[in-house]
Amino acid sequence: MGFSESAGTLILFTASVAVAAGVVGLLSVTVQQLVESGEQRGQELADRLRTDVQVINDPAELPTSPVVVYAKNTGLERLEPNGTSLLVDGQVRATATRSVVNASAPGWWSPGEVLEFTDADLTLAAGDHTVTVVAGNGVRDSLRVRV
Amino acid sequence: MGLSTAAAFAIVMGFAIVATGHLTQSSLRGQQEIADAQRDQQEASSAHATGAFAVVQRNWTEPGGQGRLQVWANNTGGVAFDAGKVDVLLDGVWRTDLVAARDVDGDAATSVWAPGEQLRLQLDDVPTPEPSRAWLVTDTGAAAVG
Repeated sequence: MGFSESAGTLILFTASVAVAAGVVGLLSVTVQQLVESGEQRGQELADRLRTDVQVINDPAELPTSPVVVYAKNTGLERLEPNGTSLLVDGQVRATATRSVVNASAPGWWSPGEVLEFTDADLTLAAGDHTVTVVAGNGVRDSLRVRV
Repeated sequence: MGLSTAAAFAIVMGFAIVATGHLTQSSLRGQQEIADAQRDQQEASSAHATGAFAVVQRNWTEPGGQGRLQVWANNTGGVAFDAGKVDVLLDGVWRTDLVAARDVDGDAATSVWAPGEQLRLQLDDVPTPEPSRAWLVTDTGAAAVG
């Protein structure tokens, strides 16, 4: 009688602890995901705030044969050239090639450096046009130029 | 029965305390990071707003048949620029690679172009004829033509 009562108590105790541990295990995964996603969102927002790009073409002298657009990294973040896009008059120029003309680190567009877009497939009519450069994290700058 | 409940409750409560601490620390880290970035952005915005310069003189020569363009610019704003990160576009084409010499008030060793000081850029081997426009852009994006 005493033994079976103790055994029952032990089984109940073990089961309670096991269930509690299981619940904690499941919750800890959720908490970890919350922490990671929160930190990732915070990092992305901080990166965006530190990012700044600027189209630096002479508005009165846009090279047109081929069309060349220059953008300067005026922020504090190192950016990926291949993640940066060029739009001319609102149209994405997928055919534009890009290179950092004064790159200090290959494959990166560092603060103070100039990214050059060259689009040999684009012909611009005489008149005013808008060129826009968009960094991979969405930070952008536009410039009205005259051809 | 009472002991089992207490043990399970203790485990869940212990986890809740640890998890709350973890979440709070993570949240504080994220807030601090965003606050630092906002401060950096405000400083950059201030530099954009108060940074200005003007091209005051340019000189074209052709020593040995090669074009040499010198440009002088005064920092007329309220912030210093990085003289080493000033870009030059000649008739719309990036030609910073032709900059052979640059100095601030005669000092070639400094990269600080402070308010009131004059920057001189010398570009060698510039294709002739003389370019009609020299477009200068600072590290913060301020621009002027000469």
